[in-house]
Amino acid sequence: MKKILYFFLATSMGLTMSSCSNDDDFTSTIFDTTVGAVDTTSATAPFDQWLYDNFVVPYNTEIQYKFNLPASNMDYQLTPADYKKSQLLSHFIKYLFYDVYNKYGGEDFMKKYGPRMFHYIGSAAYAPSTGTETLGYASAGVKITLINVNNMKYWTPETPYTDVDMDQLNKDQFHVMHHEFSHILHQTKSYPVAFGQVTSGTYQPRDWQKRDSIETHMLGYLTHYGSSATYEDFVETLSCTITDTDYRWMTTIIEACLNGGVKAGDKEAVYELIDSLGIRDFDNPNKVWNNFSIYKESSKADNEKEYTETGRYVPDFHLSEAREKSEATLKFEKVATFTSFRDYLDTWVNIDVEDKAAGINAILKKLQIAQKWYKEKWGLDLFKIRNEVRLRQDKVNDFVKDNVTIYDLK
Amino acid sequence: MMATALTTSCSFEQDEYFDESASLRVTHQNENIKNRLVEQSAADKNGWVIQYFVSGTDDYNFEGFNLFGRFYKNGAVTLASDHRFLRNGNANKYTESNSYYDMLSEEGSVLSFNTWNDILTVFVDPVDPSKAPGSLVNDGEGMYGDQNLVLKKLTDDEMQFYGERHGAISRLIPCDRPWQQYIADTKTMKNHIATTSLTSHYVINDVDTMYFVDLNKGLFVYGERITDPLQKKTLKCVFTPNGFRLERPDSLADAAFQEFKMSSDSTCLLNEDGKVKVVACWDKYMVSRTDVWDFDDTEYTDEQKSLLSQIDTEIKKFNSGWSLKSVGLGKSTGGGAVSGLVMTFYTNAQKTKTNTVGLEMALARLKYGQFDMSMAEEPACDKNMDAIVKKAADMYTLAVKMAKYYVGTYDVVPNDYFLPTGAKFTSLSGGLTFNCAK
Repeated sequence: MKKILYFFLATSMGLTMSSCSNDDDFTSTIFDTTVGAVDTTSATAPFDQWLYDNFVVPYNTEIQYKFNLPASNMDYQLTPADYKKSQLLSHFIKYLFYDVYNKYGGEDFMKKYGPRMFHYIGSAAYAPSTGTETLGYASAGVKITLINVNNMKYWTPETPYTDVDMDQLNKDQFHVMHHEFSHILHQTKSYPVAFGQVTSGTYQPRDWQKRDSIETHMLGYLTHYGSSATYEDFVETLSCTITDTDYRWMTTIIEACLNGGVKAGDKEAVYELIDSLGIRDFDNPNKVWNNFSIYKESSKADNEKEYTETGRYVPDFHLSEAREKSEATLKFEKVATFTSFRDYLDTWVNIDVEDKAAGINAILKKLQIAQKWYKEKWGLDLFKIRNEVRLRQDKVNDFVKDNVTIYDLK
Repeated sequence: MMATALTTSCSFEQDEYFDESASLRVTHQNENIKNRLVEQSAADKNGWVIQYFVSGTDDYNFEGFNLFGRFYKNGAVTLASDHRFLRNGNANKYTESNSYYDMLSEEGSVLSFNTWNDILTVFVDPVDPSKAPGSLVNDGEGMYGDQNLVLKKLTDDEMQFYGERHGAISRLIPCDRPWQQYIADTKTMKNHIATTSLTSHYVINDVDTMYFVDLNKGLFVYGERITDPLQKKTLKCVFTPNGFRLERPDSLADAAFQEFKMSSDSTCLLNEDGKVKVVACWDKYMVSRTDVWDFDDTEYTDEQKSLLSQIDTEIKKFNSGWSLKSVGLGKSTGGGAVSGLVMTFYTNAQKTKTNTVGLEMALARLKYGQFDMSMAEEPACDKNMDAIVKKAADMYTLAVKMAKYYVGTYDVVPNDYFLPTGAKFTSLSGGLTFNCAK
């Protein structure tokens, strides 16, 4: 089953008021009033104390690493998180999330706007009926639920984190965190209506997961889930800018320019974007974006004898996804091979004179709106946040080695 | 937009059934449970056996699992098992894992294993198909186990829980021996009562009999007959050092049963009140088995001894290096093998190699423990016999003479009521009373 990843935002609130008169006398309290904020007799006391010192006191934020079934989502089969991985993730949240916003947003920023609670889930959250997998969810701007914590690689001096491990951590946890946190921000200060008007005709609330990456990007969305609704698109734009890898950004840009062309000025804006994103080894010939081919797509339904051109170009790195997503049989004919992204963008990508281009033009517009909102409403520079996160990720092994103590159950 | 506010007014004028509020009762019950969990986990005790049954699905029925637990006052818990779903190369290997537990007050007392534990939580994990052992479970559904266990029953001897989400059943009983000893003793019992050779059993009381199969797989699949039953019902079971226990109680003609223990004479397993028996279908196994049980050579009559001497002489006409080793009942091993009387010959002087010759006899089960052994006037034989009679012409006739001694009706007592390797045949009519064994 091919999985589509998405997030879930729960904003509904229920209100029930009841008034009861009870003639009974009060009995003794059911709460243990002898226990302090941290139960020092607990097997988890050292870590609980660390959480208290680093999240509860400064931010009034609780990290529920012990599975809370009633507070979880009963639509999914979920498991508790691993105790040691929970500790590691909590340190990463401080180092790669809170400390970053503290640096650029000021000391009070996360105290005011940070989520009040994180809930860790160990397993993935599958929905077998739809073939989707939920990556995380936020509840009423208060709680962020992080899923698949047990999928984290456990750090040891002998098995330090690699770029691949950080990419996985970004995908599983930090993309979700920035996504959900961005919801909290835009629920506090709304984003411009203009954002939703850029690709207003193509949001697909129900069947977004049926789109493949080629279609998603050519329509002007950074992710499949972003194409489900404007507010999801908005937070995906912010989250992708902060956490997406160079590979994801460059392949997205290639595809967004591939079908429909670009508008005048877009090529220059793409280079500016690449510069702002800080794409590393941009001209390295071994990078995928400097070594790829383009194919022309044809399709044939079961009841048809001949293949018909679909009018789409598909890059080699997404041929298999196109096949998986298509209900028809697909055939691809190679039309061009590129040994440099510059060659591709400068010479192959057309300037659209009919004003039909959507892909990269829409992405650039939406990015500009989101970036401006981030700056004007919050005083934050989106690309500086990305850069800071990446610099910290570069030093993550030293950070863990020098600053993190993982406790056993005592 | 219509807003609805639900307002209720309650005045409590009710009888006092309890001394404490519901909240206090749950709180105190939780304290009691935790104290018991911890006390039984003291260093001089053996902690708890957790008999755990996942809920399973229509497509997948899993056996019951023996887990073991030591609970500490500070919330730490050590679980152990050797079940087949352990990961990281630990399947079927004794493994321990530490995690955290808590007693929660919800609608009742809830024992919550709320951080990942390698022993228990694998039953709850939704499992990516690429990681599912043998692709046993559907993507995203898992095995329908639970880690939050709601108290169902609390007695001096046991605690029973049901899963908060899926209703997975678990029962905690004090462990009476070291965990690995419990595992070893349980395996010994399982291998005794539920082998891959003998997979069907009777459930019997004074009124009725049912059949069930797959006990060796940890399942109790029963119906009104073994072959092609009209209805089948499956209950999971977990093995114990003394027998096995079903996930939930059931009944046979109003006689309730859930746990079976080996009887003192080792002939059957008995339920809690001794009114329901589980008996292996050893009698059906007797009819279909393929090994050879030799007659006890100390019981031969003089006539038989003379006959055996003639057989030994006759075989030398076929090959002078051959000699008679034994005669018995079972299935011959050569081409065109037959079931019935089997003569085993040494085929070298050193008596290190053997071959068998078979003469067809029919062993039929008349009723439980009673058999009829019969033979056609000119019984069939296997290809070894065909080859031998070309040089040793009297061999067939001698074999028929020998077989005739055993034609009759018998009461049979096996040497093991679960996987017999021999039996005492007591003649009821015709035939001889004899013992035979593998």
